[in-house]
Amino acid sequence: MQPISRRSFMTKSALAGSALALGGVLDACGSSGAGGGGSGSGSAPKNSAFAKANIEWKRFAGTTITFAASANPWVTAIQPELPSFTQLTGIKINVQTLGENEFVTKLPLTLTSGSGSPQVFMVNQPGQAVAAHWVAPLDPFQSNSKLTDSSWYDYRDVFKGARDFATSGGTQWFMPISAEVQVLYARKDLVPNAPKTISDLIAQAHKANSSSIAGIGMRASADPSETPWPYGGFVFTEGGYFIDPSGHPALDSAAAVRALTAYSELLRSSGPKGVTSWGWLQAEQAFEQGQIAMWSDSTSFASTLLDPSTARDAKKTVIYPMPTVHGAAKPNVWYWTLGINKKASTKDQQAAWLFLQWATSKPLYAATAAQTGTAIRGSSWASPSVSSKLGAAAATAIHDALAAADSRPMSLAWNNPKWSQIASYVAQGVSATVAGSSSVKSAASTMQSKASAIA
Amino acid sequence: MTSTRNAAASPSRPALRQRGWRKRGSGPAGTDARQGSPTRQPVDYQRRARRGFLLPLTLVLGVVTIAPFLYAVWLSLTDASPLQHGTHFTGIKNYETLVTSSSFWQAALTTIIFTVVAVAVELTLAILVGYALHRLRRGGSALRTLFILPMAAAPIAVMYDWQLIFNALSGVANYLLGKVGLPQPDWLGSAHMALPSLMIIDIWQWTPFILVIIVGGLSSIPDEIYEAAQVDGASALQQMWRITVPLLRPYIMVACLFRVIDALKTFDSIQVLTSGGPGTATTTLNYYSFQQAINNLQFGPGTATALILLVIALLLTKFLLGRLEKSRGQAVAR
Amino acid sequence: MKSVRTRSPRWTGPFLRWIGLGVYTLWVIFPLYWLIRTSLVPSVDANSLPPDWFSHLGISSYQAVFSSGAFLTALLHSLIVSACVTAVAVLCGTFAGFGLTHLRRNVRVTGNYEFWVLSSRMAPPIAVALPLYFIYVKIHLEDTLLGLIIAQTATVVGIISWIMIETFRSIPAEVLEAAEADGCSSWRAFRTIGWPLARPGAVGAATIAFLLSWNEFFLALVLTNTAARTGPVALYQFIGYESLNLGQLAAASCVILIPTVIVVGLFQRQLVSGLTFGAVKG
Repeated sequence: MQPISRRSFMTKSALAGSALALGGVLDACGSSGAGGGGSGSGSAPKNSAFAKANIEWKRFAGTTITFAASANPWVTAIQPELPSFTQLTGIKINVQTLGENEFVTKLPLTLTSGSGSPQVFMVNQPGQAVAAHWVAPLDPFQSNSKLTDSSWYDYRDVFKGARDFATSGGTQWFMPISAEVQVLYARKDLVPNAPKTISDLIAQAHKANSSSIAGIGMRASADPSETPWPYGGFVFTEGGYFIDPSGHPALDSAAAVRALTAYSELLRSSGPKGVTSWGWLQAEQAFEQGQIAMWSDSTSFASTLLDPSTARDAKKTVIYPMPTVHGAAKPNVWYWTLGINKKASTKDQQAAWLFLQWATSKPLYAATAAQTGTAIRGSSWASPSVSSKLGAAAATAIHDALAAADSRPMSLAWNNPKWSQIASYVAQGVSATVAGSSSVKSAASTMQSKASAIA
Repeated sequence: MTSTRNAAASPSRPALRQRGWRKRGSGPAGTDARQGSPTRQPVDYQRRARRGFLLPLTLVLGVVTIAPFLYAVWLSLTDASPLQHGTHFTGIKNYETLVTSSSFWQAALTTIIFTVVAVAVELTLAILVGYALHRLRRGGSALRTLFILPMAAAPIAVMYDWQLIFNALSGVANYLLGKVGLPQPDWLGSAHMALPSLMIIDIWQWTPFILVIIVGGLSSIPDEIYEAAQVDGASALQQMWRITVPLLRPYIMVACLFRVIDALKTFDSIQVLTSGGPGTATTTLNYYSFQQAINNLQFGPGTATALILLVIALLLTKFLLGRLEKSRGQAVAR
Repeated sequence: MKSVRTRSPRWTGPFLRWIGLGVYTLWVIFPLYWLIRTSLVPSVDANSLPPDWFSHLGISSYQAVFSSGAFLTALLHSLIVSACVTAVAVLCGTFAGFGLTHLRRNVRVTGNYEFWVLSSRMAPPIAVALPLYFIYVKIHLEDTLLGLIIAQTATVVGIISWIMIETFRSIPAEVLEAAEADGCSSWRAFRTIGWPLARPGAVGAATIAFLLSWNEFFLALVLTNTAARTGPVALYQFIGYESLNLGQLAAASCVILIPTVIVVGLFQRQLVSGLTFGAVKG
């Protein structure tokens, strides 16, 4: 399932704004962003930037589009901009934000029932969405010159990894909206040099481990939406896959076994107590409270961890890249994407496409990149607001990691229709191994046999 | 806390308006009705009218539960899933797969262990606390109000609270245990502590429920019996074991009945705190059916597991109801 | 109270009792205290070591919660749903209890009926929620308060009716038959005798119904979306953001607790009465 990206870099004022925005959600007919009060942030894109696009924005004026979203910083960031979208196009957007746990339960049910609403939705299980025919292909929209100004839109500006992920079987199914990659957060005073290799990481974690602070913490709970993601980075870096290029599970390959050994070794010998029930919330809190010296997880947490008002040791925190094996590293990567409901009417789908185009356009990312830290376009990372928000070093580190990310191993897994179920086997296996109730070998073979039975 | 006295109830209306009815359980169900006096003829329309009183409930239950139930049975006999085209009737294949899978049996075992241990502890605790409360001269009512609080809390609302408390690293439970030098377990993260931790939460939340029933039952036992026993030289423990518990039997059975039905369906704590883990240590049948239906989008196996759980609940209920009827008969024959 | 004891000294009994009750009281209170404290301390300190017992108190979490229109609306929805479910469940149950009284000679029929009524509560949530969801989508009851009321009633009415049936059972037969001997119709008998006698039990049953409905989570999660959201599901809105919201989550949880605590506190005696089927008058 979706790995993360529920990180919010909100300042207190943005938080208040989101509370009001949530309140505005119930107004089924109105355009959302009731609490926005006009364009929220000072750098809101003027509609003149959009007028440059050679398309007829007002073509579907009068339509209402429902957007089902999981609580997410990107959603929060665009909500103040929505009134200007309605001004530009005459299309009303009704945002339904659900808490993540709720979203994950409800969306499959809603789409299974064949409803044409929501017309646009965030996708946390891309493989499932394609296999269940919930999403309409986007290529026809991209190539329709009446709906898309390709040169203005510049799809190639979006990170290659994201574009690859959104396309499977030769068809583009989704539109990426945010990007995050796995990095190693560390306390500079305890881990002065970036661990170069995985074995180096194990050694450093051991060295940093003491009775007052654990060497490293990572997610290890049995929740399929949590653990597989950071664990995946270890598997891919060892050269392994979750689902290999031929479409079969490879959960007990030699590479996977090495990864599981390393992952559980790290946590069992240098990990904090209780780590087998950890999701991102526990890990993040632990790092913020100075209870772990290192944390391998997504860049979406960077803003909070580097902010002294939320993290105790923010000033001593650095971001290191994923350690390597044989000189290469394949940190895991994740892109939130949007899909258009296949069951929606043609008119609604086209209106939804306009929304997608607007929401993922250059001007919009220029305005929101600093707030989210997960911009999907390379160009937005060059904006000064981003480097002032995150610090120049961190901003560069994250941008480079995103640009270099190879999304293929992740895509093979997450785009598999059965991934949701396989992910639960992976999570169970990892958590059992870290808890010590299963050996690496038996956990790996259990994962593999269960996964092979269904894939 | 007043207790009912053994006052013989008079059938006249004014008498019944006073406190104190005739002792309940005057016999196994059905025999407490007197033989109708030969001169009174049941009037047809009266009988039909009284049957009419059954209509609302029957209608509501019938309409709202029959259709979903049949639909669920249908789903369990197919391979329904949005991940594939069309739905095919597969007969009992889902059930076969379940019954031959070790995950199913493991979940069943976890469910049974959880239910039996949690309810047993809740019962014992409720009897002990209820007994102590009952003996209190003053403050009993105030304490009782306090003790009921956990059951008024929405489970989902307290789950995140418990997550904080049980955090092995920074939670207050381990902090306090550390201060007094006791071992600090990994509450939610170790395979053999996870289920007990969930049980602790269940016990905290639902002991009050049983307590209320027990307290009611205790106040229906007249004090004379205890006084008589004491004259005979019985110790407190003997009194409890020989007098209180047998007399409380009907109440214990009712409490068991309610708790077992609900404990089998425990969900909120598992979803929030452990996701069925570590590994599959806290995956119960109910959670398993949720995983299959919502996570894996396999509606067939999901509903099949749920229906098997329903059958288990029905069997257990039938058993407990039988014991309840028996205990009612016994309670009278003193 | 205690007469001459030949074994242990007089005071051990009460002493043990007091210790036991004291420990139990602490055990009951502590998680609630922790919840309240988490709602009052700054969120960043929610999980700090050593624990923040009670410093830097502030009501900012509550302010944020109460300024969330969505949350307040959810509470209103909960109120509406719970009130309706309670009313319907108690009504159905009371009628059914009365209706079964004349059948009490026929043990098998009443036993089977009671079992069927009780069994409606046994169904695991998935078996109820999933089919109901798809049915609701077809008949446009999805994400409506009415739909949720119907669904919750179905799961609550079983246990409530069973309680009412048992409550009526403990009313002596002669009483009801005496009423009918006077020639009054069933409805009058119900109104003048049945209902007044069953009322304390009914109030207790209503309390339980309210509790069950207000705290109900799974059906609300599956059957509602943003339009008909109720309290417990609305808690999920505070999850998925940063730890800042631990305080708000705790505050929201406390707010949700208040109505049920009040109800249970007010109707405690009737609760006892209801759960013991009227054998005990509070």
